[in-house]
Amino acid sequence: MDKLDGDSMKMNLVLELSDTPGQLVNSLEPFRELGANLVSVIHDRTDKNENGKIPVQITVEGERQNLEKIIETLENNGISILKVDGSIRTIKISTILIGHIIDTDVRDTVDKLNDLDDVTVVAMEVKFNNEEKSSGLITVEMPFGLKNTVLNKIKEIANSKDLLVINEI
Amino acid sequence: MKDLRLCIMGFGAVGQGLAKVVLLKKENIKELYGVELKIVSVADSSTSAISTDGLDEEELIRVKKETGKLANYPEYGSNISGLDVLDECEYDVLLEATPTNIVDAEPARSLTLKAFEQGKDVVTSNKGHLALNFNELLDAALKNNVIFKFEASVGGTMPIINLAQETLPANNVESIVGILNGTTNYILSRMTSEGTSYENTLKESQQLGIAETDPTQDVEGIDAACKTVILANSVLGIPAKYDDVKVKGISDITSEAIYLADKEGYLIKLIAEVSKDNLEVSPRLVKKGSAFDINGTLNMATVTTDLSGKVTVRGIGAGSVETAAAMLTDLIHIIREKYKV
Ligand SMILES: NC(=O)c1ccc[n+]([C@@H]2O[C@H](COP(=O)([O-])OP(=O)(O)OC[C@H]3O[C@@H](n4cnc5c(N)ncnc54)[C@H](OP(=O)(O)O)[C@@H]3O)[C@@H](O)[C@H]2O)c1
Repeated sequence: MDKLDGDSMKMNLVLELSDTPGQLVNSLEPFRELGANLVSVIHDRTDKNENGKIPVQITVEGERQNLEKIIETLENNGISILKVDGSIRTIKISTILIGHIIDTDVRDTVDKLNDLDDVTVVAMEVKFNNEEKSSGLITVEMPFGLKNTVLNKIKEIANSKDLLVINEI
Repeated sequence: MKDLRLCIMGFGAVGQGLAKVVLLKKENIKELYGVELKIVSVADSSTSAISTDGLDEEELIRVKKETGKLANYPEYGSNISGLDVLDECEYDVLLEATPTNIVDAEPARSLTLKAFEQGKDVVTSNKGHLALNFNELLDAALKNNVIFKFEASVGGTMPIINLAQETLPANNVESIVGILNGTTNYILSRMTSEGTSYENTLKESQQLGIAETDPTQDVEGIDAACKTVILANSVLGIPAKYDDVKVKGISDITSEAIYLADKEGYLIKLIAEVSKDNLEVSPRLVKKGSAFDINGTLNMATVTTDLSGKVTVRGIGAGSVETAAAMLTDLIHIIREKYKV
């Protein structure tokens, strides 16, 4: 965020909206409510992302606190924020796998996920019970836009290794 | 004062619940709508009680509880059963609460189609015929110009179909995501609070009468998948069939998985997802403290709409009087539509 006079800042955001009427207006609501000034909004319906959603570039000016609040509100409203001031926003998702996790080469499972661009497995914990089946929790970090790619990859790996996947909602 | 003659098919938990709620609410309904509810025929699997003058609600329940057969109802008990009951006695609305059958949908399908042909409105709590023959049934209702209501088939007493159709009609519903099976939610909740294994928790639930002796329909996600099909067809307009739903139950869930989820602030729930892109019943991770964090046998659903955003409901997903209450609500809908004076 660029510093302006007093406590006022400028911030550049890239949001991702679905191509349905009212989406843009709805997404701008928190800006108005929190008294931030929109400097520019670039919304080109012909420029869609892979997932069919439209990236919207917004420049906004307001108090730091309010700008942070806006990000929080947007995310709570289920709007994806791809970038803030040029840097890519990452998210972490957790998944649980149940089955023969170790026997089906746990290293390979982790590697297959790490092989995806910009995707990192940040944690993995496996617990055993008396039987040979084990339960594992994997936490993966990725840019917001890649969530579905990663979830699909996890499903694909699990299918091929006959593991039960429990994904986040 | 106009009589509204009711035929109840199936006199188990829900059927008897219907007799109770009719008894409790008929004065009210008379006052509000000028209509007098009269139960004229009631059937179980092999017998019935039939009287054009109306049967006594408490006596019906007593006879069924004490003797097991409606044939023993004083004076009006008989061995007439099945489809014949619908011919035996004039009625206005069929309240159908026979067992859910997801193999061939019977007897519900034949009973319902016959009632439609007779020009009668039907209210049901059954899932089988809706999951297998949704279009056939709705087309037949339309053709015969009758009303067909089935709120109780999904989420028991929790409003979901009427909520979407009657309360939110300005919206397009984009998805419904929810917990639609109370038994599995109870098992998963107990595994979480007690740290017990799936097998032991299932046994405990069976002892408490929460899970059935054969728990397959619940624990393998079949019941929730039927409800997914019903919501897809009735609320989202997706012509889905049972086989279109990806179904995974909870029988492979380990206490270790629940422990790992818990440590990261998650719960494992059996979630039904209904959307154009995905029809799925499967165990999923949900955030503690979120709308999906409900305990015991409760049900919940979040309806995502284009204009109103997300609307979430939760409520009791089963039970005799509770399920019957949802059917009475549907019956009142019919009264308002057709009989109100
Ligand atoms: N219980 C709930 O909380 C709940 C909630 C939502 C939806 N439902 C649905 O509501 C329906 C009824 O459930 P329930 O719990 O009441 O089941 P239930 O206690 O097993 O009762 C079923 C009743 O149907 C009768 N029946 C069986 N075959 C019949 C036939 N061919 N003709 C007429 N009656 C027949 C049975 O007769 P007998 O008495 O002679 O065996 C019994 O009276 C099911 O479809 C269920 O899925 C139940």
